[in-house]
Amino acid sequence: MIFRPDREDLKVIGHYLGIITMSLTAVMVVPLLVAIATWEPDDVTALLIGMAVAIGLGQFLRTRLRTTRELEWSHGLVTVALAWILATMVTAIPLYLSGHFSSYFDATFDAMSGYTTSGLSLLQDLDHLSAPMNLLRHLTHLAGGQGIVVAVLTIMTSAGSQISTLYVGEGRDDRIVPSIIQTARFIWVVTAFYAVVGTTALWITARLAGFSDGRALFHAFNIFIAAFDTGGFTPNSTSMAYYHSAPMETVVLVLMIAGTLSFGMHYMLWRRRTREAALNLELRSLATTMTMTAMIVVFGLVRAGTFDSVDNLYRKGIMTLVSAHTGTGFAFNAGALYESDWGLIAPAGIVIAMALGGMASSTAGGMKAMRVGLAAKSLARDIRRSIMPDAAVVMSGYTGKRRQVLRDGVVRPAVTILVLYMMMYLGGAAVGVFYGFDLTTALFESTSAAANVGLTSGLLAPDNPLPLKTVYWVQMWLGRLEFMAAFALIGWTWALLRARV
Amino acid sequence: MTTPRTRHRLLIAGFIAALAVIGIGVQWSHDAAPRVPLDVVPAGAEDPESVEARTLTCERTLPDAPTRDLEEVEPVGRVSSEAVNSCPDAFDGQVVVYYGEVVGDVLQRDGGAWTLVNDDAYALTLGPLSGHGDFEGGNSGLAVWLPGQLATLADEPGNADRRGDVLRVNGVVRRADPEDGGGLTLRAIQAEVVFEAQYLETPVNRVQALVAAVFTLVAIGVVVWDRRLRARR
Repeated sequence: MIFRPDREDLKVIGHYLGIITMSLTAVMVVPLLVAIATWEPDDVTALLIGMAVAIGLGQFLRTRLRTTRELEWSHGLVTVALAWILATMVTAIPLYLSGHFSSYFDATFDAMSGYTTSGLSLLQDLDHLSAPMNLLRHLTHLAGGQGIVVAVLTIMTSAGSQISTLYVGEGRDDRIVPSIIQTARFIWVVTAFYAVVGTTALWITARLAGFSDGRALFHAFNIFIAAFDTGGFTPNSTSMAYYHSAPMETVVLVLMIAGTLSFGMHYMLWRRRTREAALNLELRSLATTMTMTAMIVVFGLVRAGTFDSVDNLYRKGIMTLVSAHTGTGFAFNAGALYESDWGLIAPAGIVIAMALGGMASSTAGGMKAMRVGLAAKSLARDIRRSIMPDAAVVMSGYTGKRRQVLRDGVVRPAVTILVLYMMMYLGGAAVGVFYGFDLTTALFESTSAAANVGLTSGLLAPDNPLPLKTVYWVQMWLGRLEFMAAFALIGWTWALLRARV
Repeated sequence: MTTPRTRHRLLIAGFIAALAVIGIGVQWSHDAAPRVPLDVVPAGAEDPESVEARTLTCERTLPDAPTRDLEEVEPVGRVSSEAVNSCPDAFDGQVVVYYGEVVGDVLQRDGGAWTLVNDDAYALTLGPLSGHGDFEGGNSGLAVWLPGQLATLADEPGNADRRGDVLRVNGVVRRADPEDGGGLTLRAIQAEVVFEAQYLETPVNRVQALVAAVFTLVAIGVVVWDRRLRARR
């Protein structure tokens, strides 16, 4: 029997959604100040409308749905799933009013892409977009990368014990320090550190690349956000190829890798526990898959005759590979070139890298290195078991937070999620093929969306059929939440419609 | 006297009505945006295909194919960025003519300047999107290296407020330019500004300003109402 959620259950979800909605004004405040400073009156009013809707709706929900009921596990998951949709809807309002989207849906696509740190875009004429709106797009990466729900609630509420469920719901399961509030604050501290260092380094390199002081700062801050939060938006249409600067690319390389490391790993490195970090299965798995896919890409590019110098292979091939594997999605050359100039093997390597993704509890998407590592360890153990005598006991271990025995109970959920990701990649590709795109392009785009990467082969365009765009929209959402919160929402909706108490 | 059930229904109805009002207000603001399109760039209005008189084969050059000196290469004629991006190998080393708007920034360094030169509809025919509202897809352009004195040619790149200087560039396409870490570039031999930068003169969207004022007042009202409710408790 399914229990039907009662009114109090709905109220507790609505109450927290109200708080989260109100907090979205924070994302719009800085762009509003920039719009006032640079006097872009239409941007000022567009952002005011967005903020007014966020405050009005949020306050209404928060006030009218106040309840004494505590936030439970299922409430948390449903709240997270809905919060990401609601945040997308509200942030899409000023984006839509910028006049750069042919429909409100396309604006929600970019907002979802921003919050999920994907980086795919349906925005048109980006090169003539105003600075405040460009900044807003990038700030969605920051809010989403931090995990909007937890980021908000750790600041706005004192309900520490109650928000652990939200923390997990947002695809994070790595409690760095015992308290969730402390963990979330540590995440903010790490981000602030990298923001100062990364933006400064990018500003210096941008100045050397030929930017004026102000423009260098604008680009540096936006690129920092997109790199560290593994987002992939850039202020101009040609992505990182716009800068023609090896020093900038080097800084971006460091930021992308920092962004794809889990905050737990940052904590380890912060505490100088380097030996422990070196033994960590997830880090080893990430390093192994990145090396292997890099070899595929380099081999493919050399075989296709695309590049013949180490410098070119590094600045285009390896940088694109790291961008794909970390889930950032910066392009280092025009998207059409993957199809027209890269041959077949190198893009295949890029697709594999995108599918694998970064570390869990980071801003990266994809299957995640820990799951891949566990699955590989389990496979190796099973192979050893098959060639040993029947009486032999084969054990295998791995180092996560500490040295542990590899048990089926750990492997099973990891493999289940891997299978779900594979199904999502292939399912999205099938829809692309259904709409007439060739399999390689469709698989590239589907993997990019579902793994929250943002590289595009040129398939995604504003004039794509609505169902195809919707598939990518849902893939970005599912990929970021790693299924569980979305499944909880579906279960709740089913229970509301069908179940009887 | 209303029952809790009726109050609950009224609340839901009010919430749905509020969402409808938000939707109408946003759409009205969007549709009321004033449009003042810019002039069409005369050179840009030509069809690139009509200028081209030579056929290029789109296939990868073999590594041991003979290279030709620059002087021996016949000008291909006018090309579009879309054609070059979709078949870079066919244009590699070719001298071409390219028209486009300089957008973003002019990155002056190393005795020249890197620019992004777009030849999409927003650059050559319609102007920036906010001036007309006709959606023509994303941007398309080529990275152009302007050497020596050409680096100072375009001093007003396009942005949200203007269409930038439109250039006619005579240059060589580099499929994997070693000077740019393997990027696809157009290295200018000659360049000139064929259309000066043009500013948008779009008036303020008054409907949007009105909607913003009303929504802001309502939001403030909701916050005040909440404060009063709390104070009463």
